Amino acid sequence: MPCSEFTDLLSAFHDGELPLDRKVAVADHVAACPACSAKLLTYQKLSGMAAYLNDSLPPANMWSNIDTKLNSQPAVFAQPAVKLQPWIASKVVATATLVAMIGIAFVAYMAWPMHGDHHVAVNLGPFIDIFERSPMEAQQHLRDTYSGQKTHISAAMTQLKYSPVVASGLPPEYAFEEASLLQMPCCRCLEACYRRAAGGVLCVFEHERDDFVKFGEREVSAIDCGGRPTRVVDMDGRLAASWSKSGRFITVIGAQDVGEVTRLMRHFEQHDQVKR
Amino acid sequence: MRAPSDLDLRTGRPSEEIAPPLITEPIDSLISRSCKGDRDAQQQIYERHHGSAYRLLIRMVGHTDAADVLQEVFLQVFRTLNQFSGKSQFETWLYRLTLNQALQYLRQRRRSRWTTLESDLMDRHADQTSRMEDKELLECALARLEPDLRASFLLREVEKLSYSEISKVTEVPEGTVASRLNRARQLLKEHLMELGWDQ
Repeated sequence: MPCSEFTDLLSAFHDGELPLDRKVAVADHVAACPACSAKLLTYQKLSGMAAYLNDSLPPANMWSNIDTKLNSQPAVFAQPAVKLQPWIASKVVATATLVAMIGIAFVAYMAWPMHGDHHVAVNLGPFIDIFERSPMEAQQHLRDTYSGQKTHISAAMTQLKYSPVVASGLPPEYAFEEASLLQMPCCRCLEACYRRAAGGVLCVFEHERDDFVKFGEREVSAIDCGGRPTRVVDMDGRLAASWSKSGRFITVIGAQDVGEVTRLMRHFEQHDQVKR
Repeated sequence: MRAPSDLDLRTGRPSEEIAPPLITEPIDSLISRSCKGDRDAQQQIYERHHGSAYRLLIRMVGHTDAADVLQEVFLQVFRTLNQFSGKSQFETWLYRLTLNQALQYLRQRRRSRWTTLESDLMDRHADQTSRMEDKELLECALARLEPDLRASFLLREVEKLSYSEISKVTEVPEGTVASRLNRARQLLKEHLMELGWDQ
């Protein structure tokens, strides 16, 4: 195993969180590698320093402040115990059972795979949170969360049984980094990650179904982008944008501006025309 | 001469000098009473758990604002305690609530997030003309980390949570916890070197 792969394991090794076989492998490597050994020593020193962070107490009057605030709030703790007459209770039980049965039937109907209105929204909010800080860590998060695996786009095409919009590549200013095939709650999804020549990372998601994608608690704006209704979200100076295309759903994360989203849309349209 | 039976066998000190063991009420009993609005039970929960929540908040939002956020955390604890299902440990639930409150606070002051926290620390150490001690250096380096990385590091190194527990608190998979900690440690080393850390 190359040294770089051990480097990724050093932190978990230091924390005693590796399974035994890996622990032994890392220990053997560290014994023979001065660079990794030095890194491990740094982690040990950091732990030593962190031990001194265990020292702070809040102001002494904190509880009395909380107590005062609790007193000023209406009591919501005790639920009134309502005793029902037996005949009312039986009607309540019957109604509740009926409502529950209707609910179960509705859920089953909506979840039936062949049903056209099958909606299980995917929430990309947590992914964007991590992406803003570390796009490559966000890739790992996706794979961890959605039983994903790294793939080549050509290999993904065989599994997906359609040609995704990224199949013929992005414009030359984007260099392909990696792609993942994900099992999202709604459907399978191909996610491809690119690095711009001018800097920054851009990800393209393509969901098999034309479903709704959520962006956590971020405010979503609906705009017309190149003549196509598009949902756009601000993500710390960058954009996330999603739009429906040929019965599937395209989402771009990390776009610089609406202009870049429009250019990508046009590029994907051209890809479709070439395919036909 | 004191008879051997008058001595505590463990410490060798006279028995009457040993304080009787404190009988602490189980947390589920305290929770049950708190849900009914029992202020004494609520205070006991606060007394037992405010230390860890405050420690985390100081490094997440800074000394200046930690007390205000702590107050919000415990008000929310007592407002929502009846939603605590008992599936996870109470401590895990409280850490999650504390962290969420801290992150919400940081989002609100997003424009100046770490600069505020770091300047808060610099103000506290402004009177120190000599080289900052290791603890202060680490606090400054931590303030430069993104909140997710900082939280993972604090939960592991200060609160001594396992990866599995951190995963439950931060609601991300254990693999993400591992990569966050790895990244946090690498960045901390870089920031410490910039701050003049002499390994």
